[in-house]
Amino acid sequence: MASVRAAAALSGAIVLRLLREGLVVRALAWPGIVCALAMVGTAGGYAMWGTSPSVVVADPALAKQMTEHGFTAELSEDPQKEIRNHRAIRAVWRENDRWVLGRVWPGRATLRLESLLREIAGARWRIDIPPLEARPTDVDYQAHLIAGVIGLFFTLYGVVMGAGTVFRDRGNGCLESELSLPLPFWMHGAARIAALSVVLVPALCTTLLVLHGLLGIDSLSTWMLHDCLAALTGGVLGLAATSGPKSDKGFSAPLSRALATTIALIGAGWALPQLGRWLPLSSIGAFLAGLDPAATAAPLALAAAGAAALRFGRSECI
Amino acid sequence: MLKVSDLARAFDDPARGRVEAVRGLSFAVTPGEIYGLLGPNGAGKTTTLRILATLLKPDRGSVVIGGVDAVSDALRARSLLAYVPAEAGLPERLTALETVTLFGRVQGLRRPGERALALLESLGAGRYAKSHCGSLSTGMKRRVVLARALVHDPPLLLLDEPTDGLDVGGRREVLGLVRSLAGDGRAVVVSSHIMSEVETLCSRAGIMSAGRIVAEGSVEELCDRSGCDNLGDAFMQLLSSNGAEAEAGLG
Repeated sequence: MASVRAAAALSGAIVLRLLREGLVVRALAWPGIVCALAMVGTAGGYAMWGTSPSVVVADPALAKQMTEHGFTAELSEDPQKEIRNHRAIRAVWRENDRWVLGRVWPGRATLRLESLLREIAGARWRIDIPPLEARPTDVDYQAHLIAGVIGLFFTLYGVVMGAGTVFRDRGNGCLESELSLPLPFWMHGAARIAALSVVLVPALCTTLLVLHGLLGIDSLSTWMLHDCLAALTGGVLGLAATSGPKSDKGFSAPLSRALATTIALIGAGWALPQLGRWLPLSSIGAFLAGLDPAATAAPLALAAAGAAALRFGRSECI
Repeated sequence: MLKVSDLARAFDDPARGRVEAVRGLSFAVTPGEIYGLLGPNGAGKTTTLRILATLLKPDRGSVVIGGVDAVSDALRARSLLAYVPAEAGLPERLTALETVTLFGRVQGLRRPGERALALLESLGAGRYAKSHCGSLSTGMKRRVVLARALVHDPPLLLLDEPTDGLDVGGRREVLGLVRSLAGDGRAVVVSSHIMSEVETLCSRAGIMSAGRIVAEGSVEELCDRSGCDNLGDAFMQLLSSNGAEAEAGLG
C-alpha cells in the first residue's frame, strides 16, 4: 500500500511538471488549430481551384451552346432534382416559358452562366437558389473523420511524451536519483504511464466533447474510449522505445521507431479493419474505415501498458 | 555500515565486446568515515556506486548495507542509503521544496513538507525553497540535490563526483557539507578524480583502475607506499606500478 502511495506521489509530480510546461494547453489547442486550418485551407483551395464550370441541363441544344461557351454541360432529364440531391452545383431547366438557373454557390462560373442565359435570344429566366440542407450523412462522416484525426493527434502526443519523459529524465540525472528510491523499478514505469493517462485523457475527452457540441459525433463514447486507448498505447510505445538499456544513444532513433510502429498499426487497422478492430491503435484505423472496434482493444492496451512497465523495471535503463 | 566483497559486473559493448567494468572489488566503510573512490575516467567508479545504490545488479559478489543484503533485498537497502549521481538533475518546473518533499513522501515520511523545509534551511537553501529548480544556480542546485538525498536521514551517503561543474566557492561549500554529514555519523562514499579534494576530504581512499582497487589506505599510507609527498603523485605512481596506466588509457 505504501508503495502504491509512493508511486501515486511520483505520478502526481510528473503530472505537475507536464502541466507547468504548458503541455496540456498545447495538447488542447493544437488539434483544434490544425483542424480549423485544414478546413479553411480546404475551403480556400476549393474556392480557388475547385469550381469547374460544369452545369447540368435537360435541353441538348442548350447544352451545345454552353459547351461552345466553355462550360462542361451534362445532360439530365431532371436538372432540378440533380441540384437538390447534391449531385450538381449548377443546373438549368425549363419552367413554363422561362429558363431557371439553379445554383448552390455564387461565383465567377455562375456569373458567366447567368450572362450566357441572358444572351440566349428571347429567353426569359430567373435564378433559383434551392433550399439545401446538409445531409445527416455528411455531418456524421465529417465528425467521424475529425474524431479519428483528433485521436491520431493525441496518440502522437502520447508517443512523444512517453519517449520524452524517460529520455529527458535520464539525460539530466533525475531518473537515476528517482530509481534509488525504495520502490520496485517497474513502479517508476507504471507511474509514468499513469501520469500520461492523467494528462492525455481529460484533454482528449474535452476536445471530443467540444467537437460533439459543434458537429455531433455519432458513437461519442466509442470514440472517447478508443481514442484514449490509442493515446495511452502510443505513450506506452514511446516509453518502451526509450527505456531499454541500449537506447540511450539518442532520442531520434527510438522516437522514430515508436512513431513508425504507431502509424503502421493505425494504418493496418484502416487497411485491414476486420483484423484491426481487435487491437489497440489499429482499432481507430478500423473505426475510421467503418468497422466498430472490438472489446478486446481495452484489455490489450492495458496488457501493453503492464508489459512496458515490467520492461522498464528489468531493463536497467539508467 | 557498508561491506563490499568480490563485486563484479560486466557489460556488452557493441564496439569493445564484453567489458568488465568492475572486477572483484572489496572494501568496507564504517559510520562517520568518508571513503574516496579514486580513479581515471572509465575505471569503474560510477558502475560501482550504481551497484551500491542497487541500480545495477552485480554479476557476482555481495553488498551489505547496515546488515541488509543489498543484492537480494534492494528495497530495504535503498531506504538506508542516499545516492547522488554525477549528473543529479532536478525537475526544472518543480520548486526546491516540492522536489525534496516528493522524495520524502516516496520514502514514507509522515510530514515530508516540514522535513524538506527544515533540511533546505539547514543546508542554506531555505530562501530558495519556493523557487523553481530550473532558476537556481549550480551551487544551490547541489544543495537541493543533497537535501533531496538526505530527506529520509540515511546512514549511508553515496556521492558520484559531488563537485563536478562547481566553481571554487561551490566546491568548498559542498565539501564542507559532506564533512559535516560524516560528522553526524554517516558513512560516506565519494567518487572523484580530483586528488586535492580527496586529500582534504577522505579518511581513506581506494585507487581504482580498470575495475579493480589497486591500492587502498589513508592518504598518508598511500603516499608512504608510493614514496610520494602528495596524493596526485602517489596516484600516478600506484597506477603505473600496477601496470594500469596504459590499460586505463591515461595520457
